Amino acid sequence: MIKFNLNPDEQIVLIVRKHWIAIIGQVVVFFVAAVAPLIAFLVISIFMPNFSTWWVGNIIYLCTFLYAVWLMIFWLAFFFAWTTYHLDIWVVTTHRIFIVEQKGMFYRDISSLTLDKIQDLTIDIDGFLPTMLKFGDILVETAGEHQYFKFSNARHPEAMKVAINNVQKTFYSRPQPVAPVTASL
Amino acid sequence: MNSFNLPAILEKLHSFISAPILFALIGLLCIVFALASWVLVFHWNKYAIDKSDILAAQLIYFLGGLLIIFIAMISAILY
Repeated sequence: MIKFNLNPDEQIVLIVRKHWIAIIGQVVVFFVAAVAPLIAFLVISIFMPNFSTWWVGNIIYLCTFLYAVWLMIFWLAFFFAWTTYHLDIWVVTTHRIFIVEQKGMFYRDISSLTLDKIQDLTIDIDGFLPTMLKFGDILVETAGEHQYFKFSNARHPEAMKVAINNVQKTFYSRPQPVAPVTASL
Repeated sequence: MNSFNLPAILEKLHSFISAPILFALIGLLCIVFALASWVLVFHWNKYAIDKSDILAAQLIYFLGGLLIIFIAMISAILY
């Protein structure tokens, strides 16, 4: 399991994932492609009267074999897509936000953003589906080198905003370490 | 004019593909499945944050994958 280098007094508050809507398009494409040969088989068997005479010898087993290979392609493609989707997360701790972007199977980008660097936090829930299914985009503007971070199709962005605001309040209200003052004569 | 003739294609396939070819393809399928599983399990174990989701995913993935290989194997044996 992934381990973040947390400070001793740091705790994970919230893990934000993408909504399932972010992967549903791929899932539908894989599913349709996977069942297309079966549907074609059914349609041909219904509309071709001499369909049963086509199956000479053991050709049905060859077709089953080829269909199994076809299924395996989409089975693997689905799990690769799901893994990329599942590992794309934001982790909010009491001190910072870890932004884990899984852009591909072998392309992973991890940034960490301390809460005092956050200048603005915007959520964008635009449209009927995002409103009803409770997902949207989260945009964090920072004072750092990387000017903003965006998390598209996040689950429950409003809850995320509330959580970040709360941890920010706690973060700023804790006693700040005082820098030692040295006086030189 | 050449027209799409599915029975002829099936017959050609039948005469062209022999059982040893199918078993070689099963070997290839197993190798691809093993490599893909290695990559996926590596990612799940190293980068995932919640164990329960990953355990469920692993169970579904391996059951489905092995079932597909089993179907392919039975088809090749009966062919």
